[in-house]
Amino acid sequence: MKKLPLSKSVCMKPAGAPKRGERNDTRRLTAIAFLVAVALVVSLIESALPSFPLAPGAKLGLSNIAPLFALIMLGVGDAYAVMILKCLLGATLGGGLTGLMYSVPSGLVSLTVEIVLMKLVFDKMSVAGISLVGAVAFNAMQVLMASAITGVDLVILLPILMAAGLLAGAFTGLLTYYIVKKLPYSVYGSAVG
Amino acid sequence: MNLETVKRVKKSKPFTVIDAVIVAVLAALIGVISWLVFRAPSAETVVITENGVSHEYSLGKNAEIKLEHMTVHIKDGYVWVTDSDCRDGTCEHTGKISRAGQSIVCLPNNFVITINGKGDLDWELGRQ
Ligand SMILES: [Zn+2]
Repeated sequence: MKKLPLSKSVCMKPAGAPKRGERNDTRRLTAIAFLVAVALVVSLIESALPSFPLAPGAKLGLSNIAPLFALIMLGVGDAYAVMILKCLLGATLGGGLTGLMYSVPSGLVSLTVEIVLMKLVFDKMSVAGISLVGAVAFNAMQVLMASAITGVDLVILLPILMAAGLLAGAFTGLLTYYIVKKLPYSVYGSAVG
Repeated sequence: MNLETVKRVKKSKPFTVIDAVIVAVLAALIGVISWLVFRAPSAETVVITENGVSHEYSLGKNAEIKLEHMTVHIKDGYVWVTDSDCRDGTCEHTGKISRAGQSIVCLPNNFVITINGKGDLDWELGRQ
């Protein structure tokens, strides 16, 4: 992977002097905004659906396709940008501040795990495999954060949510893989090229 | 700018052998964690009532209680009875109990063991 200007510089970009072509940055920014928007819509639809009976808070987590997709298509910095924006805007739209306290650290941990695996073992491990490890990490982290913040011992949910993460992560990873596989160059070339 | 990664993903397989190994490891980890969580000696107590007189023990603390008519064992979250001098032996045949609400009864000796639990799992999950 080539070293890229971090997304931070894109998001907080003052009006002037981007190092790369302005056209490119605009398209990347558009791609990030698009991914975050899709993630939010998917989250909203998911939160309207009933949750699993035995695992409160367990979702299929389809919106986690967005950061993973950004990691593959755009790069590390942009993936973090998508993850953080998704969490922040998600909290504004519904989750509330407490949701933010669980979701941001969990999201960062899970994305970092995915990035490390992607760098070290990708090819030997598939996108789906990396995604499921990330999802298990996300859910485990969320239970631990929730236990720490609320002071209620929720550890009993740990194995249930880890198992849910394993299945959901494999599913979203596979979905991301097939989207990337089927996506023609004419679509992504302009955003990444 | 990430065309290299995109190319590699497009060429990669949907699932690999390493994935299967990782899934197996995670499943084992989840199994171990569930075992630890569900076996945890929460707030459960063992109440032994003999001729109407009760004594309370912690289910989480291993003990071997030698009584006049029998020996009560509490070990690793399980409770059972040995060496009963009763005729029918029902209490010994009850075997090991471990969950809140379960009990061992010895009618000839007017003797009851019950597990009381504040941390009853079914209740915990039902409350969610
Ligand atoms: Zn008996």
